[in-house]
Amino acid sequence: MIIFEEELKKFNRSLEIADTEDAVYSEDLTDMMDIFINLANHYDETVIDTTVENNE
Amino acid sequence: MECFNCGFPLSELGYCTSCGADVRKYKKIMYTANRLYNDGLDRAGVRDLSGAVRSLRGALRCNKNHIEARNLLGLVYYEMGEAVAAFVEWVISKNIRPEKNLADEYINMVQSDKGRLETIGATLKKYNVALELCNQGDRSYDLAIIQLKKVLSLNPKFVKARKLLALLYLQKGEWDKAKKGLEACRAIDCGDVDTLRYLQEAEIGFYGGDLPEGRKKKITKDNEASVIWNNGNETIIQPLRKKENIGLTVFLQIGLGILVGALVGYFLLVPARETAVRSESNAKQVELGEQIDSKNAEISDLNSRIRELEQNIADQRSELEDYTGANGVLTANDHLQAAAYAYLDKEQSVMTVEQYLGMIPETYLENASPEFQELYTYLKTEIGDSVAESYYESGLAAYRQQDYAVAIADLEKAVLYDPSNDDALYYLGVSYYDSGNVSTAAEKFNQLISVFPESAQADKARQRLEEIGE
Repeated sequence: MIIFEEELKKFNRSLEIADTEDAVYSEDLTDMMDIFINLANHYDETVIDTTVENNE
Repeated sequence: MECFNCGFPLSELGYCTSCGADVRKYKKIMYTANRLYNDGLDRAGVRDLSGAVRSLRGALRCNKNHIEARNLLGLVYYEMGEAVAAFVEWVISKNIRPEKNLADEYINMVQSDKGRLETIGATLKKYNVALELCNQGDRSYDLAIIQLKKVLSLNPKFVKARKLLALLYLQKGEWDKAKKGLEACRAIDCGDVDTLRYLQEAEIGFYGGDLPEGRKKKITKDNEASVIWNNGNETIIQPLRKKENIGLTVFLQIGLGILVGALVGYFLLVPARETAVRSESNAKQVELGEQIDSKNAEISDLNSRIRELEQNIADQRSELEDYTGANGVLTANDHLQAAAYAYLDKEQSVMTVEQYLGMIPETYLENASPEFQELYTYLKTEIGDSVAESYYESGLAAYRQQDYAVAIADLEKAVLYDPSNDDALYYLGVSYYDSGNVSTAAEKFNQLISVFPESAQADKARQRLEEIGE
């Protein structure tokens, strides 16, 4: 049994040709590689800081 | 695969041989992206477009630089009728890899066909209008349906529009239309869960399965499905399928078919047949007309031939009448016999003999027997001198009495029977002269001068010719 109003909410407005440029710029391009590299860099900095503190 | 830290090509080891970075997780992420891309590719191959979108989106979440996954995602969006979404993916793909990129071909393909691009823009706008109308409430559903029908006539592969239209049909209880639209939707994208759900709902409604709230299906003892529901205090029983009298229906259909066939035959075949018969009749009439003309010409020839033959018969009859009397006895022989009898009878004059001989036609003489000709010549020779003298005398007497016609006739015969009679010839010429026939008179005078140049009558003839002027 479907409920029309609930189903209607699943339909979104379609992108029109004029919206193409905004859509390109607003596209979220963050991927797992970015997160991974960010985490890796952050991990390295944390390790370095911890090592320095321990040495001190 | 290259190291994310230094860009050095990675080996099978879990760390970079150049910078020593730990690449195990990095490799796992890359492998996951590739696996999702392969899954998306497989799903797109069997037209599970929704599944392909999910997998390819996942691949790009793992690795945004996966060009093949992004290009394929754009292609799948385009196939689903969402051209702008496809265009976005291709543009991003081209920005990531500006050269040797398949996205470049896709973008050019879309941009080169201006008409197609305008159509896509129009369909997207209409779809958005239809969606707004749907959100406005019940009263706008019909307008939304009209808009969506226009969208689908321009872009039949627009899955979202098909789904929305089917949802509206479901809401209105038009199960068959919803089912038809959803089946078309499933042909484009067989993996869309919403489509399958709507289709199930439409089939239930179409075949009388689960019904809207307040209604329930009941099977009666006659095995006839009916719907019973309460409307206030009233219980309404509505049969789902009307029992049809198949035999009567078939009979009526056959009868209708025969009637239609007969009408078609009457209105199409009969006029054609009439035309053929008419043309055949016309051809026959023309042929008969030609035959009639030919026969008429033949009849005309035969009539002219008949007239000719009748004329010949008349001529022959006339000629025969010359030979025969009214009683059919040959008159030429009679005349010859009468002439011979008159010659032997001394009481009858030679002129009587001559009259009988004169009654015999000259044409008959030409074909007469030798005996006939011999007797005719004998009698004519014997009476010649006497007849000539008699004619001369009678002719001269007539001349003197100025009866020139008789004179000319008698003197002609006198000259005929006695060509040596120059007097007769002279008076013949004078009779012609006095009667006014000057030319014949001159002819006779010349004949006289030539035959009897020394005679006294020749001198007179010369004088006459001088008078005439010759």
